[in-house]
Amino acid sequence: MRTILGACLLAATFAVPALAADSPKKGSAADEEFMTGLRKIGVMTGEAFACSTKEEQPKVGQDVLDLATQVSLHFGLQAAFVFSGSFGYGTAHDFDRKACPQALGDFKALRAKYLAP
Amino acid sequence: MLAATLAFAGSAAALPTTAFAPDRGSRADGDSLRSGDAGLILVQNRTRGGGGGRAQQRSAPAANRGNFQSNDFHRNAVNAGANRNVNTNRNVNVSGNRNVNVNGDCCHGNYDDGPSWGGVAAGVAVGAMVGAVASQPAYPPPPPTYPPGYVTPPPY
Repeated sequence: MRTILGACLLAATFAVPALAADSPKKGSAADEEFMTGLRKIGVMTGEAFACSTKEEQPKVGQDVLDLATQVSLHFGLQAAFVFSGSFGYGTAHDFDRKACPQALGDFKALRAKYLAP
Repeated sequence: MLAATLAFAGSAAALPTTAFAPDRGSRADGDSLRSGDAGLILVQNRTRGGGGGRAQQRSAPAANRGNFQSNDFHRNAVNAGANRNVNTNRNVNVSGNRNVNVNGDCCHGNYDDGPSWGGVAAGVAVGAMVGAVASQPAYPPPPPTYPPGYVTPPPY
């Protein structure tokens, strides 16, 4: 009985790290859902920038820059690069301006949550 | 005794992973990093030295700003990225679960997935221009200067 128990423990000891190694690293480039979401958030911030007035755009741009800094600190430069690129894409791509209130509201919530003083 | 032996063996087996495979992608697992950790910036300043110090000091206020929770941000991003079929299931969601926040705490809108990596490069260029415009005033270009031998002397 003790032998079986020991064998099970031994198998579990080596199996658990192996299983953990198969799953993508949290927040890494292999974390596909995270990177897709990061791109969506980047596009959202870009649309919020495009929807802002000329007077508000420098403030929005500074907030996005601060957010990109946080992303780089917490998730690495690759994630920050993808976020920044998606922001640029969001500022320039053609989108329905009826979505501006939604984008501005989402950006405001994002700013309040992650950049609040 | 057996358990202690197994535990030692397990940690020894995991050791090469941590020692020889540095974590390049993520800092989110169980991290205690907070935006108020000015120590991170200070450490980078100490270790890098050279010309990087000034840039690091300049980014320190941004690093100290707000209460960025990486695990929470990761969860929001994953939730936003996992709902790719929002359009196809929109009617079902609206009729059945109108108040369910399918996108986590941040993005309630249905946003574009953004560019592939080639598009990201183009977006970065646009973003860099936007950032430059947003962060700096528009300076006029300096007057042209010429090397001394360029201007022909006037005839006598």
